[in-house]
Amino acid sequence: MLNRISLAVVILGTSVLLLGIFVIYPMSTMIVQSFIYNSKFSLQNYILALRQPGNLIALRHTLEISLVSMFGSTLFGTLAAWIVARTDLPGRSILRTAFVFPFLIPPFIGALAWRQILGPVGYISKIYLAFTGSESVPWNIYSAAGIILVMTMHSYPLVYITALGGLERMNPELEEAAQSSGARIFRVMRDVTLPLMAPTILAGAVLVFITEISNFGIPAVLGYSENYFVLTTKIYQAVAKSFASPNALATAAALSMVLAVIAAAGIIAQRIVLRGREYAVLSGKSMQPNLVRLGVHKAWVLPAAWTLVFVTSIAPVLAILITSLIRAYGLPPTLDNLTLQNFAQVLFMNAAARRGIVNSLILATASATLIAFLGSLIAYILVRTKLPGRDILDFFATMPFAVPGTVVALAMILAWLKPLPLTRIVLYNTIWILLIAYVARYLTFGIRSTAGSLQQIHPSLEEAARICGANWLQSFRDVMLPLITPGLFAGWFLVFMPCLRELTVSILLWSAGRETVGVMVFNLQESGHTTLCAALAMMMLAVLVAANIITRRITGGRLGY
Amino acid sequence: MSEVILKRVSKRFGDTLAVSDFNAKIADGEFVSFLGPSGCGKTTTLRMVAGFLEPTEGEIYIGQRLVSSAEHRIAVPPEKRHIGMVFQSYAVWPHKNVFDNVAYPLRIQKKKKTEIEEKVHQVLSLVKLSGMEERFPHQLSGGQQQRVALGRALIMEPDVLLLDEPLSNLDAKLREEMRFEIKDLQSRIRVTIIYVTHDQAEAMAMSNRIFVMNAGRTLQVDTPKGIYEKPSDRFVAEFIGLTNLLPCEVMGRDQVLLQDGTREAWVPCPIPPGLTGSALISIRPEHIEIIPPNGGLRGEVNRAVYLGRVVDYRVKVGKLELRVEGQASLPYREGDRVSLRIHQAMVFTL
Repeated sequence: MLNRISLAVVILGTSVLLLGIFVIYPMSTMIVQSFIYNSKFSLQNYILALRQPGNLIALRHTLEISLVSMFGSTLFGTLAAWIVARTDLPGRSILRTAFVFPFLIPPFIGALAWRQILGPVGYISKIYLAFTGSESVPWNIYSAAGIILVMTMHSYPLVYITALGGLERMNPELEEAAQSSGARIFRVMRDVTLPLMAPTILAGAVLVFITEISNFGIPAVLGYSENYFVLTTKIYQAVAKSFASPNALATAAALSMVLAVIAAAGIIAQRIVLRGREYAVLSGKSMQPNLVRLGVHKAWVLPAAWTLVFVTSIAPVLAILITSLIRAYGLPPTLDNLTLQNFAQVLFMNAAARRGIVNSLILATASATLIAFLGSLIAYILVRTKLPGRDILDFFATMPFAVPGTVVALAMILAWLKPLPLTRIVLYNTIWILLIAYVARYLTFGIRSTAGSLQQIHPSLEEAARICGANWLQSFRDVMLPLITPGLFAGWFLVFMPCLRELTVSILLWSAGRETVGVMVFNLQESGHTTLCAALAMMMLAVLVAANIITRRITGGRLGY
Repeated sequence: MSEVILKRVSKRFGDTLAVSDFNAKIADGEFVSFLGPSGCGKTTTLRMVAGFLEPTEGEIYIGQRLVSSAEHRIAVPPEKRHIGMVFQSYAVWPHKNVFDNVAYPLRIQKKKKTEIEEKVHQVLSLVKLSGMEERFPHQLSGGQQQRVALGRALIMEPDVLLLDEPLSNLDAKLREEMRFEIKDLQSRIRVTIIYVTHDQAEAMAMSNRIFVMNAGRTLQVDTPKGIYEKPSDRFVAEFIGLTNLLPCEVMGRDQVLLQDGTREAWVPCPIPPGLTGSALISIRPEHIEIIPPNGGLRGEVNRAVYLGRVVDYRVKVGKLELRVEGQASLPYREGDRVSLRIHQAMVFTL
């Protein structure tokens, strides 16, 4: 008979073993390799990496664009949250969802879209040229400014979501108390609302910063061709050239460590800021806060809000859609230039694109399923046991998502480049390395969503089944499983979606025949097949939107955007 | 210090009428309570006085000033009403210490630093928080946070003090203590107080007058004594204290016929003019006396729960069960056959 202790040991053993393969071995291999030069322990890789001027410039670029887009995202995100939560602007309930939409568009696809809108032959650029009669446009999307613009558009929802949550959880009586003390509405904002919100907004800002230093797609699409590098694209370049220079991988490992350290510093900074400053505020009964009457200001706030939505969500999708339907990129979008040929091409004729679609669907399904299993095991240990060291388990499971995807990919390369022990099987250049990387990266999503449902199930429910005569397995099957099923399904989709849109990790791990959708969208663009690229991107967006709707349905709106 | 007048005030949220035709004239320095179950409209009414909600119809005056009028489109914002308010959650700002919380209204008024300091110390000693100036809310107990909220509401010497279920988050013992303290505070500073509560004991203990509300309507406005002894209808009778509500037939002008299912009993009581036929009789447990079995209402003691000072009896009379409050010295036990003598009763329409 399986008793509680031995069962816990089985669960723990399985989780540790799998975590070891998926996370601990690759991550530690990378850390060790970054310190090994000529088979000796040294700091030489770091010295070499940081001595190259190109790498230092890339580091500076990374910090610059991340900081600037962090400020931009914080400004727009906070304003958007305030408009939705605290003003009487008409149509707020639609805006509430619309502001989150940029989150659904993968950043590199956003970058592609803006290239098609503001690039030298982009839609807006052409209109501008036609109107002014000038030779060229006075802006350049292939620049730091272009990267910052697209990053800000994609990241303000991060601040928006955290700030909106904070504003809606805040007890309105705190604001009312200031008002009945004689403070006008803007004074109330300054003295009460903003100081109470500051830690939340700051947390969102740091999240943006970490997201931006990790971003590969946007600087790859808008900077790579102009030799404008950030750390992630620099590492990509080093790996691409690694077979030409023997030490490139070790240097890339050192650069990855630098990137990981910056990300860790961000996370630690956030913890310090938040420590002891999250005010638990006893909630009153009047949960509807007093709304600011915008009055005459509606005349400009309303168009401004919708412009933000249009520019960040609708315009990029529209650009991709138009490009995907056009016979040849550069032709004006008139009726006789429209065609479905591009979709037929990527679905049936272009073998690599087709493989990309199939591989991505297989990878996303397999990763989501594996994570549902492994995530549940770990979630059970975290929530239901008092095993010592379970925090360490959680740490390792969260780490691959906390560090930039580029770092995870490099760890996978270094770990699986050599044959597996006692065999001649090499995982590098197979689909398995992609699967392992995906599972490692998104494992934490599965753990969170199952842990969330487990926490809501009081242990007494299980105990009641045991009292009624059910053994552990029966009580699990009859009580626990039905109750955590919605959480499992939601977690499955939460993993499926990012796997499908993944680029940062895949671009470093793909090989001929093992393409993914993200890789193919990127490659088609780089090889000048702009219309095919748009068609593939459009299909990816459609699947993502559908998966998101399903997730929202399953969880009753609790998860998904 | 001001009187507060509400004239034909109504509040509609979409299709629901939250407050309907509310009229009140609250005198300068008076302590009134809005009492009723949750959803009765008491908090909505209070928030209209505070200015957080605008009436759909009617007018509100504070002092001689018209602050809300649906007809004349007047809506003085809360910050201009010169009102003190204590919220159910206290709403003490967690990022400000005790001093800064209490000083806030004076800072808004741009008072001089020395004046603010003097005033804050004065108010803190009034609410018994002297020496706690530097503490932050998370270092205070619930009761102390309550006093901070009270101090902040009082420091601007408001015309009216509004209290929205201020004691409902405190434990029972502290609640009783704060009751007397608030009452005591009011007698010293003579401020007009409107107190919202669902706790009848709280309302009884503090108020000059109680507005009993249900489903958006004011059912009765009277002193605590008036409300208890002369409830205007069956809802008030049931909501305030305990009572036995039984069906009866009105017979003439001074008695009703009580039907217990098997027999009938005549109970003498005053009948409101115009009331005939089927009605309800309300008899409070302490107005019934248990006597040895004879004629009249005869029954059997179903249960006797010893409560110390009194015994809570349930007496079965035919198909009815009546609660009777008896002295602890009475000899009756469960199963004893007894008769009931009714000393006082009231009759309401069905």
